[in-house]
Amino acid sequence: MTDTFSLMNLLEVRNLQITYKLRTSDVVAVDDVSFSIAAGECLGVVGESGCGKTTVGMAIMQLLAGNGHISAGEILLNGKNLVGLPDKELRKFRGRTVALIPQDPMTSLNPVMRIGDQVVEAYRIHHRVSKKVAAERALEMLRMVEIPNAEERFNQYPFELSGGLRQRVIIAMALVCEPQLLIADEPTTALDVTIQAQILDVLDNLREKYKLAVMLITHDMGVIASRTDRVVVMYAGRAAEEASTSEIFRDMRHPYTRALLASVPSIEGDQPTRLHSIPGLPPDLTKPIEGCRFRARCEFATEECRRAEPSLTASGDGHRFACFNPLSIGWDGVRESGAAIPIRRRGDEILVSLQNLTKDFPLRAKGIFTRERRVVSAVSDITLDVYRGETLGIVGESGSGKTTVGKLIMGLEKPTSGSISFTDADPSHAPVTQLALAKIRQMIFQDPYASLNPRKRIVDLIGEPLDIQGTLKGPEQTRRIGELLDEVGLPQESLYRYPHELSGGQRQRVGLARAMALQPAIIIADEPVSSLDVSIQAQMLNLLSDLRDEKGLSYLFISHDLAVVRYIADRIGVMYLGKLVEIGPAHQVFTQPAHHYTRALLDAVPVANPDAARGRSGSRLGGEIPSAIDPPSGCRFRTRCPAATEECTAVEPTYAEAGDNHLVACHHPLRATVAIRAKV
Amino acid sequence: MRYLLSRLAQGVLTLFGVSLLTFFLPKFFQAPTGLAVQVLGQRATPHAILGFLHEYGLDRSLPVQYWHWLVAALHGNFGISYQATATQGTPVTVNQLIGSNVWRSIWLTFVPTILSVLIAIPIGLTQAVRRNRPYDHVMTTVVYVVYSTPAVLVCLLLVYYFAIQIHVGTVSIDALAVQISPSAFPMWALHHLRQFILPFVGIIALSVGGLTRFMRGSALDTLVQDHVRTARAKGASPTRVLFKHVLRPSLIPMLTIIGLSIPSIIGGALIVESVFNYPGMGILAVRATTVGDFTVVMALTIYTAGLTVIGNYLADIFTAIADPRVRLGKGRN
Repeated sequence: MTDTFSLMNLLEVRNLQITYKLRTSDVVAVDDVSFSIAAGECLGVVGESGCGKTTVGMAIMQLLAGNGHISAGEILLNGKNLVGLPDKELRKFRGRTVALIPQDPMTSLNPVMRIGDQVVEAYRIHHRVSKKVAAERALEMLRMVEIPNAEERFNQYPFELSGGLRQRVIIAMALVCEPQLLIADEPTTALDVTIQAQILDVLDNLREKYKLAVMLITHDMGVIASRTDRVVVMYAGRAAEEASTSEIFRDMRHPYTRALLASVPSIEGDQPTRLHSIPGLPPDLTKPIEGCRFRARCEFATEECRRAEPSLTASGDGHRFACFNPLSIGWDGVRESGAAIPIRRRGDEILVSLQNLTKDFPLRAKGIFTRERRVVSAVSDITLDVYRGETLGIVGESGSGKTTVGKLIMGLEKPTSGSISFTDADPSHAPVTQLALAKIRQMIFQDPYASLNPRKRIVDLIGEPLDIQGTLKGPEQTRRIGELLDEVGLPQESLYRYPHELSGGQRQRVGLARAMALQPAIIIADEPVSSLDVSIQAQMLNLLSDLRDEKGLSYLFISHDLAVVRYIADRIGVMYLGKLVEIGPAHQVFTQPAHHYTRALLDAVPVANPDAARGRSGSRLGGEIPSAIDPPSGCRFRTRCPAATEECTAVEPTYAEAGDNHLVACHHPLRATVAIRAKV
Repeated sequence: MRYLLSRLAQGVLTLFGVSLLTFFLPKFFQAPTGLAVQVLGQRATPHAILGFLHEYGLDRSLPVQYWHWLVAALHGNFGISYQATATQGTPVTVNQLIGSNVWRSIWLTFVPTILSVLIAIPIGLTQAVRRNRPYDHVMTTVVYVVYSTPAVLVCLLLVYYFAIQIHVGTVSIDALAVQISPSAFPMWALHHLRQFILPFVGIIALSVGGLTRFMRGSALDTLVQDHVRTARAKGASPTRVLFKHVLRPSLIPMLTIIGLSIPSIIGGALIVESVFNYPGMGILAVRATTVGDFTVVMALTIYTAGLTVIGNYLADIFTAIADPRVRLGKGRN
């Protein structure tokens, strides 16, 4: 690194090292990280959780958590080193020159302050103007981020706004002082894909308008590909590779970058290929690291990698990587290792059958004496079958009712009307007990931290269903639990561990082993990989599909992530506002969707391929999902549908056949359909 | 609105339950004849005793007695105080008795409670901000010592070291206090504030510890929230962050705790009253209980329970005012 300050760069981070003080030891969370951002540039910082990407962002804001501090290096903003400046000086930068968009819009606004006032405050901290002038400015910003009815929203509290709207408020607040640099820390991770696309568009437009530089911190290679100019890939506290966005996807040199890309499932192509999964876990930063930190998980590691830590070396124009055995240029091997997964034919035996399944959640009446009973229509008139051995994916945005369908099948909610029948039993007639049904259906959950009792050992957690059934006891039970651990790829040592001693991915395997203990016919998986990092997610997805093939399991796989569902599901059902709008074979639904909503969802998914991402037409789904309390008449999607006509308002569409086993409920489908009688 | 009404119904049920317990439980310990002897004197004839029992309905079955009491109580009539009637010769109603004492107790509990809250909020808040630094540790220790020392001991120590040794405050409160009329009492109390210093400190010592601890915890919870970081990212100064973004969210759970601490403050006031020989509700309650003047006990219990219910109710209402999420209903679109 040269010490001469280049006029081009708005921000220069030089040899940054950040240390967290823990009770017993110090952890160097970020080590020797250098990069720069030019005015108007968008730099992506990508990596898995724990790689230090958020820490770097917070260090630039000088808002590290209390036990963290910058132990070495410089952060130059317009040539001025921010490290070591007193808080009073730093406050002049915060919000004015550098602004932050934090990760979670649900918690990042003051819950007891009106949103307008929060934007006003951001402006008045840096400008000596009257409240009235600031309020006008704030209102202008709220309009700029495309908040509908901004005047009315101005006086609302955060809890009255959806996640997408809150994130717009946060953007308005960040940009009200027209900063030069915006640090966006996973700005859309908590949002649905269609809202994510809207928010990223707003950011792109404003970036252009204000010549704003952006540091976009994300784990999503798709977001990186479509939105950034340059990328820094971080691994375990260090920069592994840095290059322009097009180059990193085309000519990646670091094995980690390649592995990261290869573990992301894609919605492109006719057929998914088997995901590459990085073995093992990132290193524990509390312990000293010898040599290259990626070595233990790297297939190209050599003796040299053990001896020394590779430093960033430049290769060509602005491309730097830290590896002794880099991949050769032009080596197009991202998906080389993945064999194409054959399209599976579903069996003919129906396992679970849903008939006109409906679930309304009653609301508390508003007045005391009103008789009016209002309901949230969570699931409305869903009819579908799950076949033995197949994976049925259910996709949809939050509020679509997909989780409720899972709960209904699990018996965790009682249907308002309609029925669920299992081939082995019929819960609506026969007095089939929960105990017996537990052998047919099991569930795995989204959150590996909350779904395991922290005070129970793994052996007890997996053994509990066996205890309840009373089938296997004593040493036989322990042997069975051992088998299950093998099946889900957990070491036998974990038998007597507690959940907190395991990583998120390992815990999710425990959840899977617990679900499999009774050898169920179907596992309801509600967002089972959403909280995992991509490399761990790939491991889990491969495990799930291997187990399915080995054991002939069925999955009902519920997820908001279309690429993940595309990877694992044989058939896909698309839900919108409680309705099943389209269902059909996965490849067909993805390549030739018949419903406008499916099309819009697919368009909104960021693709991890810069050329494809930039080439895609920007048909954006506007607005947000309406309330399920009074859903729109006729077709529930009509309020956001580009093809909506009066017919859609008046008549609810029935199912029509859009291909083999492919049904769609739309008056103006994207594909030729053959009318059928509504499947009853 | 609906929520408030359902809470009101809960409150009424609570009062009913409390009245049942206080009415029936003591009856197993004391026969009504004992009360008659207390009132009529040792030399009362059996005939006079029977007459007394009959006059006040004490010869009827307990459920009937309770029914009569309940009907009267619903009209605000808690009967006469047997004890006061006996000593003064003319019938003294329970309400008269309580009415002449209650202002002194309200003064003694209300003022220190407010002071406690005003002390607890800044201490808890600053402790949270300086978490795990020397100031926090020192305050934590002080708060725990005060919190865990029995109220009686606190009062006696106060009396000894302050009233007797250095003449700050007084050993007891002027017996004249009894004769001051309710309307003149506030002015009288303000003029004699010096006498109230130590009783107030006693009650503050009793309640301030818990409130401080709670405020500290509540502020700590708020400080780590994302929106506080957002405020700092705007460039807000530490003072601004503290007052605009930490204080109010932290106060919301405090309101509930203040409501919940009413019974313990009333209980503590009883001790303080007896130490300082202050003729308030506490001393009245103790005397009534010892002589078995059950109408007074009943009325005091119901009033105290009612105060607690109302306190919690007010806390809920204030929470709704302070927290828009409660006020406007969470599910609004």
